[in-house]
Amino acid sequence: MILNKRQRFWTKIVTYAVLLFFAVYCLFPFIWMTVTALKPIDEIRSSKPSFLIDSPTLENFKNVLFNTGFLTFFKNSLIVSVAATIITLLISIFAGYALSRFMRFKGIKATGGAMSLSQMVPPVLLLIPLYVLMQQYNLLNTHYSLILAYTTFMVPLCTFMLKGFFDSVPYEMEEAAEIDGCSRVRIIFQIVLPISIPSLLATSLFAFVNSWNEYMFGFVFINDEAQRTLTPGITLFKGLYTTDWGSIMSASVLAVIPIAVIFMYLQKYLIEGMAAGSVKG
Amino acid sequence: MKKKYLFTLFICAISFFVLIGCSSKSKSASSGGEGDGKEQVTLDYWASWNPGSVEEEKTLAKIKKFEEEHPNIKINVELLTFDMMHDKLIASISAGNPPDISWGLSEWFGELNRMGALLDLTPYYNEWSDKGKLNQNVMDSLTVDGKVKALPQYLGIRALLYHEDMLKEAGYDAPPETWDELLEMGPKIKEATGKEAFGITGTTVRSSQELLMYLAQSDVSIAQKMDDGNFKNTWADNPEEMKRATETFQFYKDLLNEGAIPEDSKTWGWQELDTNFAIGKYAMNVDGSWMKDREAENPDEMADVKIAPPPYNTKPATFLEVSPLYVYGATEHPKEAWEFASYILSEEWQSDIRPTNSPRTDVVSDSQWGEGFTSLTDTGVVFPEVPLGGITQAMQDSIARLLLKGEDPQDVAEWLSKAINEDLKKNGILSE
Repeated sequence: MILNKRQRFWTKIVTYAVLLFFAVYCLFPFIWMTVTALKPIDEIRSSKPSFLIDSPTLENFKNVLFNTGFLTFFKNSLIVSVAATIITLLISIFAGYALSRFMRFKGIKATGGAMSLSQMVPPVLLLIPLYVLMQQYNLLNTHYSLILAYTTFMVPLCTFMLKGFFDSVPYEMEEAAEIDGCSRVRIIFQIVLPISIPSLLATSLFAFVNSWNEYMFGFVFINDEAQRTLTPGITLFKGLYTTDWGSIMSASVLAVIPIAVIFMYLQKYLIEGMAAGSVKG
Repeated sequence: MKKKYLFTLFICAISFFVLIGCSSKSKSASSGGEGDGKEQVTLDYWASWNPGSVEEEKTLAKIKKFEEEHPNIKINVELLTFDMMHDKLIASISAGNPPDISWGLSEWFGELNRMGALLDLTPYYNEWSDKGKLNQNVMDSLTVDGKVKALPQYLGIRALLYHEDMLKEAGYDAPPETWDELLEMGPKIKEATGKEAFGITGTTVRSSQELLMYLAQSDVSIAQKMDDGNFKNTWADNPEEMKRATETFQFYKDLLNEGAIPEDSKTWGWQELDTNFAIGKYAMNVDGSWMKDREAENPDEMADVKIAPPPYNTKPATFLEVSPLYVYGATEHPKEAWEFASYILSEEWQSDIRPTNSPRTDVVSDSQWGEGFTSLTDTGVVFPEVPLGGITQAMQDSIARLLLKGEDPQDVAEWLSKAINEDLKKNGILSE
């Protein structure tokens, strides 16, 4: 449809108005969180809530960083998330490749089906069986329990994400490498993976963010404060009868920073990676 | 060559994170070597105080003192919110690995007892020199078939809190004593102050606690223990009880229709209720002595707060929140667990940490935050000792049906009666 100048102008106005509305809608919680983190307690509890801060303070951040176990929780989350991401990626690369290239085999087909089915089981249903399992293997209260649980839940989805991308990699490239005497593992690492960087980054980001944000297994499997991860750690500011909103908000702001930074730098790859497996060609 | 190097680096990174990340200490040993001829014991204690609070500081000092006086016992504290604690307890009990002692809500008592998770404390309790010092009403709520199954570590008795200045502005010298008086005051307070007279909760566990109290004020209970030892909601069998239950739901409806409560309070949880009262957004609510802590945060708004018995319909009643200290049957050290539990209930601990909300009759603060609440203990009602998960949810749903969907109070009372009995049946404890 051809639009005249006036119509183009109004279309632009409406588009930007809608985009602005959704941007404000999405950003509001983050802005409110940051503003609250910078407010002193009497302004947080004020009967007239406002975006403007009369006496901005870093007291909440200081309290979170120096008087609580926040840094320990942060370190633990980082270790667990990075380890779970690497292991998930390693397994998913091979599993995704197998699903992409050997779907004609019955066993592979059945494994793919089983992986799809496993996505339909809510994690909360597996809480008690997994707890018992971790206890029997003496893994409770260690990072191993979390890494294993997170990997278990992320491998199927990451496998399907990577399978989608591997499907779009021309098989002829592998055949050429094979003719040159390249082994299957070498093909994966030297031919397929180097051209799959955007997809690998998107999958790693997905795995990392999921591990970073996980809450339920984090609080059920871990008893020791020294091993606790960030999400259950932050909820401790919610006390018995009162909630320390200033500390919760500043801890949340600090917890969001790594994810925000990663997204900012890798956004380009993320979009490429998401789109990569969507069209087969 | 470069690729090979990268691959090696990749494998090293995995090993590094796995080794560093998982080189944590394992679960603390529950017993160890010999010391002074006694077995070294570590008790796992799950608690829920506010991190960084004065309570935490005092409690940790007391625990340290206890450990010094009992060199063979070490207390391993884990701090959890109540939301986290329930799921964690259920998982650990199912795996046969609960802590030795934990805090908990009274709503979990029936569930934990029916799971067989609680230690029978009767032999220890009977030999305890301070057993006469605990309020009998409170102990009865933690006793099943003559067996003491938990100990009360603090009381969250509810009373009417009111902003005296707002009432005076509307021409009232005293708070309401009955529901009718409260409803009558609603429009006048609104007119004089521009603020609503009362606050309620429509969500979270607090709303079911409030509903239990209002039902008790109409002299009805949600489930009665029958002759066969099982439980039943008897409203449908007794028209008089159904009428009184309906009156309770009508009271909620009247509060809303008369403008006595803020329009949005039908979806409030405890946080909104407490915070809005503390900042003076409405005049009165039924709340606990923990609101004293809000004096520090909102000194000006809380300066005029006074305490009185909750207004009632036909019978004075309040919710008696007994915060139980659970000792678990799976503990390998019941004697040491009792030693610690009884220390928590000692006069020394209670007068230092629970001066205003102690279950001990000899620890009563003179302030309105102490005496004002503990004087209501005799009118306190508690939840029946049945699994409450489904029942408290049904109670919350009944308020939503009434206030959000606008259903008829009698229909809601009938629905709740049926829902409670269905849940009792599901748990195999419905008296037929």
